[in-house]
Amino acid sequence: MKEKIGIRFLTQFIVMCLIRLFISESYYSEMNVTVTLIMLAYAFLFTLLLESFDRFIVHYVKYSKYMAIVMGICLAFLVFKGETYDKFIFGYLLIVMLKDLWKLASMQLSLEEFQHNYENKSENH
Amino acid sequence: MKLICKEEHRKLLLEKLKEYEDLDIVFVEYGESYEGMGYQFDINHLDNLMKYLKELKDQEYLIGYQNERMYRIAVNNVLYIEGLSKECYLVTLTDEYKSEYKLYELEEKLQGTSFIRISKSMLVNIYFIDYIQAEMNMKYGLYMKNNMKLTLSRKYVSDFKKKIGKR
Repeated sequence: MKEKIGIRFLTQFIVMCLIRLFISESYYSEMNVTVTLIMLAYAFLFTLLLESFDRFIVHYVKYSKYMAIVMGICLAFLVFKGETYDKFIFGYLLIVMLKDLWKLASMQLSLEEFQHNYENKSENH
Repeated sequence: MKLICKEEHRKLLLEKLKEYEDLDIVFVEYGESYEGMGYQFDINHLDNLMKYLKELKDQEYLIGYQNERMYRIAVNNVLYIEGLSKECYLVTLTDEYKSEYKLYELEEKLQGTSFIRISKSMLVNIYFIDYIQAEMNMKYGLYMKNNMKLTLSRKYVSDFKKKIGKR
């Protein structure tokens, strides 16, 4: 678990740094300690959010379609209305969340369906 | 299946027990002698034998040992089976039993049930998985209904997905 969180945190930080490199017009394009600290804070918060989201998905898997719709709407809103930096950062976050949602929800739904069928089969016997 | 009975009953019994031919069991009619272990039955009370056989076929059992005592454990009650170097353990919600079989033998025996191999040393009963979480290196964490966490190795992920019918 710690290993997973550590690697996730590092990945988020690297992504933040890459996004910063590509957005030259924003304040975050400057290379200084404050900006790096902000990046670290973002990476930390994103890691926490993604980990919590993973737990949340499996417990509310029946609402996964609605979650995906809401996230899709947020993503569309960001693309059309958001500022460049927000677009990249939160766009990235939403895409990662959508990917996790698809991966875990499809597996959890299949598992629950299997268990349900198995239970019915056992009862019929 | 092996049948020790009077010759005049053999034909009738073989016909009646046809669907249980694949069971690993010896039926011994009262009055007949057999040196090994077998299930004794009375030809006049065949309904008891048929009832027992139906139960046996519907719900599979495994034999487990604990404190030098033998227990018959329903497959549906086993959470997971862990194979150590020379021994194999059947873990239920409340207890742990030693099995006489090796892990690969149990894997073969439990084909078609809700058991699947999740790592080199473990078979898990899918029915007892509470939820799944993704982990590093394409592994998955299987959180069981008794709050235990098992790891689904990368090598067995595709078989696992196939088994649960992931679209």
